[in-house]
Amino acid sequence: MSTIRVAEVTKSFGRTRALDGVTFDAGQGVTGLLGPNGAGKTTLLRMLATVLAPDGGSLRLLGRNPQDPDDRLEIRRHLGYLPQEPGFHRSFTVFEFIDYVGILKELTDRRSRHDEVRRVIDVVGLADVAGRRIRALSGGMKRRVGVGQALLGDPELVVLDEPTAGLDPEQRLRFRDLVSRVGEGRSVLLSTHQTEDVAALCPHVVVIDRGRVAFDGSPAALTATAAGRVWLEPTRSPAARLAWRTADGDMRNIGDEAPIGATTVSPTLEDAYLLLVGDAVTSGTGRTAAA
Amino acid sequence: MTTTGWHIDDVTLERYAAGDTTAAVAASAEAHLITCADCRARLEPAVAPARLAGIWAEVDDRVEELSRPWPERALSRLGVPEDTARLLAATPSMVTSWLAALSIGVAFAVAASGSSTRGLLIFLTVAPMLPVAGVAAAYGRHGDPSYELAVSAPYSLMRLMLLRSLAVVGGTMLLTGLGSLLLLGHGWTAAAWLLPALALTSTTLALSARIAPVWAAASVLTSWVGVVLLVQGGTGVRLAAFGPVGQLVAAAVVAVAVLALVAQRSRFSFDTGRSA
Repeated sequence: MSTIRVAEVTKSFGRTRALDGVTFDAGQGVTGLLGPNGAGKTTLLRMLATVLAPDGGSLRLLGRNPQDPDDRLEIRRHLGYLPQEPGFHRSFTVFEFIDYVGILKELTDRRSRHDEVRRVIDVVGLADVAGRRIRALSGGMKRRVGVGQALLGDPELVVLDEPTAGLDPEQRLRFRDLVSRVGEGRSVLLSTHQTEDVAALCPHVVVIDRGRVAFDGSPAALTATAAGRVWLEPTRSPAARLAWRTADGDMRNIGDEAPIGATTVSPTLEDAYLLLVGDAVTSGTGRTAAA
Repeated sequence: MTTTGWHIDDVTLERYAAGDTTAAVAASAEAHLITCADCRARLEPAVAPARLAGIWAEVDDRVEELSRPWPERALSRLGVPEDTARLLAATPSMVTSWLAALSIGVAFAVAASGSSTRGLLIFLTVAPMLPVAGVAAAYGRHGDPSYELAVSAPYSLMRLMLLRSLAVVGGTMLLTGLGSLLLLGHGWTAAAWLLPALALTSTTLALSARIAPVWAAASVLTSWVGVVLLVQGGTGVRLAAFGPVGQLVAAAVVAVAVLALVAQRSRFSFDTGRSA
């Protein structure tokens, strides 16, 4: 069952068309939203978090219509959201801030709310700094505070805008562990520009490029679009759009088609993503592949 | 570790467990329980789980109370519910810089006022502007760092805005009121800022349904200064805008703005700012 249905959604800011007819469905589990900066990922996520209303098209979240006030309230009661730049009230401690969000989430009974706040602080591994002021925390810890508040009240729909930005490799692995646990039985939508995060975490990937869906399918299907388009040669190939020397000393070339006789290698998700987004840039159409 | 030869008898222990003894008996039982592991072991099954949970809850409350920041405790003492106090506690961090500017503004206006009507005009024009600036600082994309989270949460945005505004306007009016006490030499005219302040604030709130509070405040403040200057120019009387007619107009504006606010309450649900 699809918990997120986006159909022909458009949104403009002044003359800029941020979303230009976006359509995709997503269900339970983790869905990764990939795309270059300025592709419209954040605009889309803000809509899915009921912060922004679309100009055109239709949107259904958890089987409800966010344009309808009663439905919207019901969606918000089952929503966890990490904005791209979650702001924190500087005077609050970690506990006080998450408690503050808990109040906004209508957890009115103080005792059970405080239990819930302690639970999410434990989940994101911040129990040791729960009493510290947020302004004294590192960037990675602040991100975890942001993720923690998104998990309050065990939401059915979790929207995370670039949750791995600014995390070091160890924190990123911990985060994967956390998100895949959260994704059990819930719908998690996360945006990232890290193809590794998507390859590791997301059974479903949607690539957004210049306000349109450039790909919608499984990471394996996305990777398959680059089959036969990655090859090794001793030098940079003229047919390559991108090439770099690997640790083995060979030149790894990525292009539209491997020259005859070249040794093709199996592509990665990153290769496919680069080719896809690169295609859109050179052909100027935006929509180049669909699954 | 048992250091005494006697133990609490069964009847007393039972009554102590139920909380049904005199203070003196309870005190001596407690003094013994502290040192006697045997009696503690006998006491444990005798205490009803509900009573134990209640006692823990009480301990928990006391500890929580002590760990709350003082502004929240102060608000609770004034009768503000605990969760509302926490929502309000975020306000000072948003408005401290504005609060500093405000105090300087009021001090300046009071000083300028002295005994001249020109000074009084400055004070009466500036004073109603301060709560408007405070409201803009306490709510919306530009004032509230966690605004985005507040929008996506089920809590009513309008309620949040009104709560913050009430706190800010209340605080400002208290300060400005103290300022105008120093100007009582001018008679009741020194209090003529009160209704305009309410009019400007309520208009700002009503406009916030359509545009970001910062822009609402900016347009309201500009219009206000324009109106004061126009009325002064048109009538040739310095304090014309603050006469009885002005006060009536201000009261009418309050009424209209409050009605507009109520009529538009459903609009306080999405982000009213226009940024991407």
